[in-house]
Amino acid sequence: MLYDELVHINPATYAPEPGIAESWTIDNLTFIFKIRENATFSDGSDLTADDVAFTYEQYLNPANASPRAGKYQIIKGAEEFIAGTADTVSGITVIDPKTISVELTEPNAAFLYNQRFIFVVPKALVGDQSGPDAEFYNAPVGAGPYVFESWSVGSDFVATANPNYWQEGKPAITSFTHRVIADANSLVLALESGDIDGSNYPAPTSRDQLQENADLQVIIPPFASPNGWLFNTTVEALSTPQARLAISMALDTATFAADSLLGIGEPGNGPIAPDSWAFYKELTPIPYDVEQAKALLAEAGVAEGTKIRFNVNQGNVLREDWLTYTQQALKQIGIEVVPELLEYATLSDQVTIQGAYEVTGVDFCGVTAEPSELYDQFYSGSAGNYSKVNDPELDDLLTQARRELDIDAAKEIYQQIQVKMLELVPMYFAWYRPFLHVVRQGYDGYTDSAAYGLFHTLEDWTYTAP
Amino acid sequence: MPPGVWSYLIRRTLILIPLLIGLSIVMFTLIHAAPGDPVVAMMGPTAAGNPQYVEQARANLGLDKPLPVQYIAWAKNLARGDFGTAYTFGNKPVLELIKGRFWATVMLQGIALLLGILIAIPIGIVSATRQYSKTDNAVTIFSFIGLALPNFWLALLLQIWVAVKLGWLPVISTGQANAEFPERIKYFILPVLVLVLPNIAYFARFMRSSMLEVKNQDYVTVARAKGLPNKSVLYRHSLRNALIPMITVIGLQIPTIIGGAVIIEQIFAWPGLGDLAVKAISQRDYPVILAITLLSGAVVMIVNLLVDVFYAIADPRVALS
Repeated sequence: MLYDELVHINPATYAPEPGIAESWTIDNLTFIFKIRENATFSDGSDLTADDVAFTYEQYLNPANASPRAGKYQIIKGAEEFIAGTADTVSGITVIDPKTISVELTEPNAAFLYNQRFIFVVPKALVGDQSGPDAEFYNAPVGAGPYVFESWSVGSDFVATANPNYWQEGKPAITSFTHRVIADANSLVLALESGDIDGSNYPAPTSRDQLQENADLQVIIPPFASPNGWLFNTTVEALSTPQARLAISMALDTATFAADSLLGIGEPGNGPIAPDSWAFYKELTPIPYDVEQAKALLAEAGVAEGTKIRFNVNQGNVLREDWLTYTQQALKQIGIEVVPELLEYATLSDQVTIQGAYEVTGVDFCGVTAEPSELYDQFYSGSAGNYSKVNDPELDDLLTQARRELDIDAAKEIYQQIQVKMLELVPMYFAWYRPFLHVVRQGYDGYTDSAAYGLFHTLEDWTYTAP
Repeated sequence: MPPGVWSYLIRRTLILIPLLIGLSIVMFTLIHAAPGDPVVAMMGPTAAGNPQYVEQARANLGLDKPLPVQYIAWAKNLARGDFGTAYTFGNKPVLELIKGRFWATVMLQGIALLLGILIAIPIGIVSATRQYSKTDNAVTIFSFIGLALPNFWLALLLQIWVAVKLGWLPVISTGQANAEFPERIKYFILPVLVLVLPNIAYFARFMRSSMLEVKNQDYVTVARAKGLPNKSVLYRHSLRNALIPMITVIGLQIPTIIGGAVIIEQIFAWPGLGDLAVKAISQRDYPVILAITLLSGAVVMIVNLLVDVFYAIADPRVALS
């Protein structure tokens, strides 16, 4: 909202679209971005290629410890810049004030998508401030559709329309207020009473109540979040694909979805959400078959009565239900589920840093907008491969897909990946988590998005009193 | 002032210092021993996907040093009045963060406490002077209801009826910090109402039994025997003495001002300390958690001290030593 992105991503199709960069050319390893002539910061100063180059450097600057640094480390000379042996990134060249060229060390399909995180900041104002507590952020200046107005912690965040925004006549909504409401009931009631105009987070359980209210538009977004069980493949009982497949087959996801997902969720199928261009529509889901599950388990040599720890984060009602259901269902095949309800920060630490878990129900894996994130989640050498799955064939496919710039060729590789993932089952993608997006009547022009929510393109919104 | 108050105050205040240091050591150790990691909580699972980032972020926060070194660095800053910078919450200085929240909470809870006392004391007196009358029974029933109602349930009910169905008041209170005076009152009404009801019930019960106890004391009988008018017996002899135990009861309620409103602050999205504490804990924001626990600890100790002093002032039989 406050900062504009170098490249916009269409919130419905996830296709790259012009943003601060009005056009670009890609020549295998070299990206040349042409910056809009009329792109300026909200203080009226011109937005130039220097500012864009500076923004890349901010991600790579170790003092900022950016979790997104990895997305830009493939730029030529980035490693030297990070190590401190170079003052600039050699792969980034400012050709003229409105043109910048970025050279990579290897082909990367996600690089164009990742330009959406290049929220251009003014070099003149940020200067050598570093870290998230820099003075700049007390009165931030960006090139987005809105300008920072006020914020006190725990209270409203207010922003108003940027008069210098490059899209003429936008935004039509001249200001917005962002409120944090921790309590789920209060959130729904605040929507009903008009305390707030919209939210991405009403609990799906409140659907009927919200739909009865004629003042509200209730939108059920496409699925973005495949849930299920992520297996730690280094645990002995879970080390074979047969054992993991057996557990998956013993779970009747159709019944679970019908009973527990409030008529909004659905059984899952593979790691890529159905809304993505990479989703393989003919993918055959893992069937529900208790007899075969028993046979597979015997084949894998998992003894009757084996205890396996399954964890979910406390307070997520759907995942808690899923855990209870799983506990009962796995009794049929002789697996004793040891249920663990953990607070989110504890669970997250256990799974991601310590690796001290057996099976988790939190959605650390699965993708929507950018399928090459599967590389980070399941490539054997990725630090984000929490299942520790290690399969040379899968590694090879993931590497190929990540380097494939042609979308049709990439689609084919992703088909193979999805089939492969259902054979290896490092994670059983069992169901899609339902969400509700709600906005007051009268608002129009929004694009609802599974990955980004309702408000991502607020600059396109209009309001006419109903 | 009874003799020795000042030396007593100074002595007790000096004892506070080692107590607070002890508390801070215990809290520091406990917080770091608890599972969970601030860096992971801050950035989510993507953090671990980038070990270089985790290391750097840890170093930036000083979490890579041994625990005693971290404690001493933190304590040194604290001695200079610097509570450090929050890991989250826009990386604001902890003191600034807590100041704003502290007043929001104190205002809400203070109003609820004061109103509670002001309403409960007359009710308790009337109830005691007319023991077993209809009024007394009504007060008793009201008190039990007031104490038994779960506050989150009452809050929800009021939100549905008063805010949504009738549309008289806002459901949540987030906007109040920016609102001007008369407009601002409406944000207070529902949360204050929810907090004040149990206060009234609790204080009224205490006031009633305290009055009843005093009523049969010898000095009241003497006062009556002297032929003093009823009013004078009631206000000068009974009430003054009956109020003494109330000091303890109210003193016990004051520390809950800091920590007691967690649920209500969450429900009404009230930007106070309880809300901050919950968020800080789930984010493992160590400096903020430490500051809030120290503050609550200090408030408990100071209030206890003040209760003791007030006791000595109110009741000459109590000696400070």
